[in-house]
Amino acid sequence: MKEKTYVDDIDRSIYDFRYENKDAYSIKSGLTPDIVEEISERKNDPEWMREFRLKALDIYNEMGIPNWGPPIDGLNMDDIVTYVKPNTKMSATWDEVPEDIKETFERLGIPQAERESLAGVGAQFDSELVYHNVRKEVEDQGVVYTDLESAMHGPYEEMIKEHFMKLITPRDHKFAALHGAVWSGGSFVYVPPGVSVEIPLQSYFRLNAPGAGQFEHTLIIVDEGADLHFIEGCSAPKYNIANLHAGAVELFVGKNAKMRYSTIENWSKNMYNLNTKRAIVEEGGKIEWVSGSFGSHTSYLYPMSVLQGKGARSEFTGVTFAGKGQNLDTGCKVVHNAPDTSSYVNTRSISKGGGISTFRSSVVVNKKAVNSKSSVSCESLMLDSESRSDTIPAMDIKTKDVDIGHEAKIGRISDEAVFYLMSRGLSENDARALIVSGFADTVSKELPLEYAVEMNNLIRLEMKGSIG
Amino acid sequence: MSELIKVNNIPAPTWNHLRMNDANVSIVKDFINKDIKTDAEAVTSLIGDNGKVDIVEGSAIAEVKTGMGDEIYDKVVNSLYKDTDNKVLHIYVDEDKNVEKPVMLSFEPDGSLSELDSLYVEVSKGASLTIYMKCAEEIKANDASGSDSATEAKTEAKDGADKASFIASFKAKVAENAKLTLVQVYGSVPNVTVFNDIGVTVEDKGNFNLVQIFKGDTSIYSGLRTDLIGDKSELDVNIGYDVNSDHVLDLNYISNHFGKKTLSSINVAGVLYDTSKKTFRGSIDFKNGSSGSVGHEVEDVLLMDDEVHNKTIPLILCAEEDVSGTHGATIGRIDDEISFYLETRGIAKEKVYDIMAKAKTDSIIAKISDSDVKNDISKLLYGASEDE
Repeated sequence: MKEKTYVDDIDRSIYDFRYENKDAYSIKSGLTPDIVEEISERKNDPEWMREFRLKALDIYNEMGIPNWGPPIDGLNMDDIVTYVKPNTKMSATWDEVPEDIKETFERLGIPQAERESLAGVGAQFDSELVYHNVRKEVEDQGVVYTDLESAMHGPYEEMIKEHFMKLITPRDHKFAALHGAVWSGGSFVYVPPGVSVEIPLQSYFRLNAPGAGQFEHTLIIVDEGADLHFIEGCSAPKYNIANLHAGAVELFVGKNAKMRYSTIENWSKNMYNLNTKRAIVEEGGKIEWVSGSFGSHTSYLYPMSVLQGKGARSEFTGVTFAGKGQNLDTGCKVVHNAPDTSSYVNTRSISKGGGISTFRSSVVVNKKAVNSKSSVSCESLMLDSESRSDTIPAMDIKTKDVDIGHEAKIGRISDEAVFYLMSRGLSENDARALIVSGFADTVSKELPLEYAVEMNNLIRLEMKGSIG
Repeated sequence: MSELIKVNNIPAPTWNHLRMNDANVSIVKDFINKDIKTDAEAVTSLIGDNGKVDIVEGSAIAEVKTGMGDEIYDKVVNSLYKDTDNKVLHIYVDEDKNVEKPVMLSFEPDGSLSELDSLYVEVSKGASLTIYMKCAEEIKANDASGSDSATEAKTEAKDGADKASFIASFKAKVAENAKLTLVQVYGSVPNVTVFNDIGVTVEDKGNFNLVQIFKGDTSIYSGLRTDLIGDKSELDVNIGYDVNSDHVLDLNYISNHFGKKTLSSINVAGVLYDTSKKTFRGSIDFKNGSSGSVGHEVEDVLLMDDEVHNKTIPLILCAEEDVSGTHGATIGRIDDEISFYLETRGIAKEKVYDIMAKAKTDSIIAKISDSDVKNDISKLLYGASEDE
């Protein structure tokens, strides 16, 4: 008889508040050309976008679901409502946002964060942005931060047409195609050459409607020599039916430009998070991904960096915490396409209460990428024997003049460390929570202070009751 | 006649576009209809009164799963067992018997027709056995890897649909407190594609030790699956390779930890030349209940030419809390500091690479404890024994 340990999961209801949005318009569930046409009409798409959506739908119908990741049998597209519009328009002041929606974002701390530490905020509720604002001094620098739909009808239409779903194409995978067909909401950011945005911009995505999907598209262009930190947050109340998030993030980092993209993902545990993120980095540019994955029922999330220009660099720092009922398949991809490029990947994953955490990565070094370097480090922590943790890192190297390093570790919390902390007066629960927080420290120290605190709170919340 | 088969599947697949989940390969099915090619009488004399050697049907060993997967058996090997006179050489070592001298088995596929050689080994409780398998032509001293004449000879052997297949199937059961050492060397086997497939189960405190050298003008697909079913059972794998010309080396090594306090170590070191391609899949799989187990895998790859192609995917799969698993990989050129050090000692830069390449294979040969086997391998690879 094999021994088993088990750590109970806890009810995390702090993000579960919800309200019935009776006035919202919901399109009928399922996915048909008529539904896509209706979304396009409601969004007042230009003709090229309408055609793009319908083509993406055809591709979606042609493609199969992935045969390598977590099961997604519980996701039935016939039951998913792809477009839910709250009964309000986008505003630039919180006072104009309907009270109940405003209250939602107040409870999530968004307006407060905006006042204290952000250069601009976009807040999306279900399928539409309800609030978007950017500080005047940032606007005066020529920085554009607006919703994608408005931008598409203004002076940036050509720029958007040139970049929209060019980095992530509908042919990439089935859910990229789905996104192309039904996308709605999201942000457009343009940072002009040489401009450095000193404090971060943030978009927050809240999915309130049960059985709905959220398909926001974030398109960011950081021009030559510019610098931007963008923060993305997301959450949803928990329902007994599946919700779907299939957003897309496309980042264009120009020559000698720098961008940091930070995410604290805290979707509810009925969410299928099938999100796609990709950055292309030109000569001397740098992309930094900071990613915390805590929520969702099932996740497929692998931000990808394409190092296209000589000397381009990427860094990925991530933490994943999989609890009861969660199957979180996360990691990253890097493609070295030019000489002297470098990539650095550093991840931590934690599994408890029967949760499944998989770290999956690929580093591809193509022939042209001579003198490139890559270092991948992943560590996993198992908190009980009901859980599971896998690491699946792939390296595909097509030239000789490279330095590629990889290391991974998997293990448990050391009894000695717990004993040491307990001998200093901590309870066992606090000792273990402290050790796990320290384990995830590589990510939290990369976040702005307020978000690092939020992340540590999430870890503490997850660790509550973990001594079973 | 040939058949396209999938071999070397990893236990947890990843993105299909990387083409690492398995290998698709054409296997030529014009097999020699023959009895066991291995000299059973010679093996019998080596085993002596420590056990027995006999011939068994292929169906008798179907339960032992291997690293290359089921498809090669379903589509090729099982029908050979059934429809031809191909049988399995069975070596059995009695309890507490130590077979002192290694059992040496030599294969020289001639490339005109495909062939299958199957071996099934049972090492009983407390017993020990070493098997040394070599598959190669002897090479002359001045044909050591890297010389011009060797390179010319190497280019003659090309992958193609008409290449014969050589399948070496090795299955074993290692009982409680028993030890099995398998040393395999693949040298030059022109015009043959090699399928080297191993499956081993290890019981309480048993030990399976595998040393493999892949060095020659041959495309090789090799798999290992070890089921560490007993508590404190151990697996130790050391692999050295160099691959040249346009040859392929495709490896899939799986260590399944079922028992408590099991231990596995997979150590791979090699060099790629010319336009060769190598894929290494290494999986340490901690099953639920394998508490106290430790697994470690490491690969060190030296890339010598611009057109080489290296793929590495080291997996750790874990369903148990109380385990420790690590893997590491270093791929690319020689570390600048080592190169500089050797150059300051008067060694030319080109020579530094030759030395480092040879050192990788030599470090694996050094893991072999039997001096006769060591010398034979050195002679095979370099044309001179260690003592010379």
